[in-house]
Amino acid sequence: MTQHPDHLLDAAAGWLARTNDPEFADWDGFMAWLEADPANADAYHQLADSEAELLPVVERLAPAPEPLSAPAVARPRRGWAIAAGLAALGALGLTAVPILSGKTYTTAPGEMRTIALADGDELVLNGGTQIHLAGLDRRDIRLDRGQLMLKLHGRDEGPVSVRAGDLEVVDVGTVFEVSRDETATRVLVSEGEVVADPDGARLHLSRGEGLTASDGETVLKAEKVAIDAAGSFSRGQLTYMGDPIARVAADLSRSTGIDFSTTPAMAQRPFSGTLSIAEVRRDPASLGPLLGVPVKSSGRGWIVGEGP
Amino acid sequence: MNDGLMSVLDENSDRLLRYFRAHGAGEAAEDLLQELRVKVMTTPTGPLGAPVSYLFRAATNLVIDRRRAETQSRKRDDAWTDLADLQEGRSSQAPSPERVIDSRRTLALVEEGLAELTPRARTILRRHRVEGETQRRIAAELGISQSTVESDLREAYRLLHRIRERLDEE
Repeated sequence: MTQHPDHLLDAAAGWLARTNDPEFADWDGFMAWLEADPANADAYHQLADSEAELLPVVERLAPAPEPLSAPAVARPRRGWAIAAGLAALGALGLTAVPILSGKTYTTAPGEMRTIALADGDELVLNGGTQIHLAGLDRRDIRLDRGQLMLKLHGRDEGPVSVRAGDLEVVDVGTVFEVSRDETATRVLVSEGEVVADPDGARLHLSRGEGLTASDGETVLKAEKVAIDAAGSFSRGQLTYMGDPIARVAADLSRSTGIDFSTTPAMAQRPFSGTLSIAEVRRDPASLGPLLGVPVKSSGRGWIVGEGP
Repeated sequence: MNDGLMSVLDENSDRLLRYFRAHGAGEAAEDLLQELRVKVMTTPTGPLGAPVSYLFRAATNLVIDRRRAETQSRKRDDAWTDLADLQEGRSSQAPSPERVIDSRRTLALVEEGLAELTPRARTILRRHRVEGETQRRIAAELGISQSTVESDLREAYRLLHRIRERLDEE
C-alpha cells in the first residue's frame, strides 16, 4: 500500500467526511479534486477501505454513553452539557468500559425511530416510547413504555427477548409488536410466532394472534387480532378490531404527538377500522365521524367521547 | 423499473464515466457504468429528491466495493467472524484457540485505538455511520457547527486508517 503524506491523507479524510454525508451534493467539486492528482483517489480509497473494514468493529464496541433522543430542534445548552459530561467520563477513562452495559432509547410523542440490530433485524419505536437494550449483543429488550415493533428475520442470531412489566416475550423468528401503557402490556404478531412468558405459561402466539395482559395477571389468553395490525403505526396507519377507544386514544397520542384522552363512559367502547396518522394529525376533529363519537378540543388536547 | 432514474443516468452517462475515471478506473469505467445501470434497473427505489446525487453515491459505492473485493485479505474477514461469535457468546463454530486469541487481540487494538478519539467524535461517528444520521442533524443535536462535525469525522477516519495500518503490521 502506498504511503501518502500527511497533508494528502488529511485532505482525503475531509472529502470522505463530506461525501459520506447523505446530504452531500458537490460531486463536481469532488471530481475536480480527484482529477487533480491520481494519488488523491488512492488516498481516498485507502481511507474508505479502512473505514469499511473497521466500522463493523466500531458498531460492536460500546457506544459512547450518551442519551441522544434526537430532539426535533437544536438545544445548544443541553448539547454542551452532554458533551461536557462525556468529556468528564473520558477523563476518568470510563469510555471503553460499557460493552456489557445497556443503552436506552427514548422517542418524544409524534417521533418515530428505527434501530438496526445485527443481521438485518430492526426495531421500530413509535412516539412516546422508551426501551432499554442489554445483553452482550443487545438482544435483551426492556420496554418501559410506548410501542415497539420488532422485525426479526436474522436466522443466525439468537432469539430476542422483550420484557414489559412482568411479561416476557421471546421471538421464534418473526415480526411482532409490543406496546405498554401504565401497567398493561399488549402483544400483536403479524408473522411467525412468539412465546409469551417462556418460564411460566409458555403461551404460543402465532400470526394474527395477540394478547393483552395486566401486570400480575395469572392467566394469559391468546386473542384474534387483525393480521396487519402489528407495526401498522410504522406505515402511518393504526388498525383495530374491536379494541377499546381508550387504547385508540393512547396510540394516537403516541403517534401524533397530540394529546388525546377519553371520557370514562367511552373508554371501553369497541372500535374496528383503520386510521391514518397523518390525517388525524392534520385534523384531529376528523376523528369524530370515524370513531362514531364526538371529538372536542379542550385546553391542552382533544377529548374523545361525551358524558362523564 | 426505474424509468425516471434510468433516463437521468443516460443524461449523465458521460459525467459518470468521467467520475469513474477520476477514481482511477481506467478501462474499467465502461464496465462500472454498466454495473451501475444494472443496479438501477434491479434496485427498487421510491421517488428520489436528488436523483443525480443518488447515482453518484451509488457510483462511489461501486468503486469502493470493487476495490475492496480486489484487495481484501480473506484472513482478516475470518478474524472478524470469529470476533462476532466471541462477542455474542456463540460456540457453534468453535474457532481454534489461536484464532480466538487473534480476534481478542484485534478487538483490543481497535478499542485501544478508538480511545484516542474524543468522546464527542466517537458519538458523532456512531450516529453518522452506524445509525445513518445526517451531519446537519447531528450538529443540531449536539449544538455545534456542521464544520465541527465534519472535522471530528475527518479525525475519526484518519484514526481508523492508522488503526488498520497497525493491524496490518501485526
